[in-house]
Amino acid sequence: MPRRYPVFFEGQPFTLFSARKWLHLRPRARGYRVAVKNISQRTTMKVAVANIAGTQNPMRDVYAHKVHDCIRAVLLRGESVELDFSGVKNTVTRFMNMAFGRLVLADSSQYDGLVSIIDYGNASVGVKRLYENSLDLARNPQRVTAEQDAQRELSVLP
Amino acid sequence: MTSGLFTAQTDCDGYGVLARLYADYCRPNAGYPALDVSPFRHIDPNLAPFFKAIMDASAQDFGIKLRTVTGIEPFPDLIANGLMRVTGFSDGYVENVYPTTLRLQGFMKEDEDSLCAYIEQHVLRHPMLANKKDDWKFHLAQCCREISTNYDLHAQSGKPLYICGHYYDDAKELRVTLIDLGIGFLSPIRAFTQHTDAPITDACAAIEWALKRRNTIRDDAPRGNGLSDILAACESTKADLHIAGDGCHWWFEGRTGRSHAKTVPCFFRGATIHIVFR
Repeated sequence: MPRRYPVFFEGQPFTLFSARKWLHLRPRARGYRVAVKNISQRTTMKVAVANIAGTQNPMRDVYAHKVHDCIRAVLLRGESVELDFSGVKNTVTRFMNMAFGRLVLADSSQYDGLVSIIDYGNASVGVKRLYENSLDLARNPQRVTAEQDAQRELSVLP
Repeated sequence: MTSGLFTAQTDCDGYGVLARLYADYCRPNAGYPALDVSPFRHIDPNLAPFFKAIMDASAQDFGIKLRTVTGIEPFPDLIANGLMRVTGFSDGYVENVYPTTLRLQGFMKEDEDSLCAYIEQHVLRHPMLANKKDDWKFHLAQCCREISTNYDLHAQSGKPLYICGHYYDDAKELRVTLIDLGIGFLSPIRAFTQHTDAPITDACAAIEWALKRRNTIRDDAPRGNGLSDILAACESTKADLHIAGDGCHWWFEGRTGRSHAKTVPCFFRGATIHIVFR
């Protein structure tokens, strides 16, 4: 039976030190599949959205909660996050708002300082647009409403 | 249904005609053994979800189980898009025989994978849309996804969301209709705004309120951009957006950029959304 190494240390030798680190991180990762990009820095975690959600089509709140909780746990440790959207084929505004918008709403400066994007994946145009739109919504609570209202003319027919 | 020749198109008048049919069937002791569409002279094929929703609503509310659909033969497009399959009366009928058809299908909230497969296989690979740009297709697919994933949150319905479409070659338009049997727009928005400075009390105002960016009845996350983004997508692609429910039919004309609202005396339960892509 092949020996299974923990997923936290992709590309890293399985040493006593890394094993101790793995044991330290595992309960905080709450069982989700999390990959550490560079263990030598020990401050940046690569979060693969599709892996954590467990689907290529993360659209429902249940998937958003998984991603949100995972990122939040990393941010609470003071570590930075690299988001990887590769593997996400279809998603929606609701998922983005629940997974990422909530974190921005809670502390936008922390989010901007610690979270970065490394890959938008195959569905780059759509995912990027939805992600940025969601973050904009959380950062600017009232900015667009007045502009849109001014542009839209409503005529009620008799 | 009173006798006469009715026309049901993807517009405010068509909604009113079908809502009258709905009101006629969905009442206590209606006594109709079959859903009869023979009084119609024309029915836009993408309006097929109305008939399935009428059957669902009459069964759910009054225990009326319609046994068949009659008078369907003059409407081959309705057979082709799968109305008889979805209603359970498919014997002797063949569907999906026209390249213009976008098949009728229902999706529950947990069916996101099958919804995405439907959009990818039936909507985006529709033979009539082969020449459309990727950005246009993205807007089309995203509108379907957004509505489909949000309806369970807002409609609070245990029934599926029905989607159907049809490509009109003469007008070069793809008309997509989505119907849910939920609680509509007015009830939750009226409850949410009743203690605010601007309470919403009528259906047209409720739809307009829901379309404004950042307006939401939930405060657990930044929300309120789903429907407004759909409207923005319609503006950018010059598509028409129709939203109907609770006695109001609101629509946005993509060509002119103007929106309108009209009260309708007869209305359908839940919310009805048409999007006309061109």
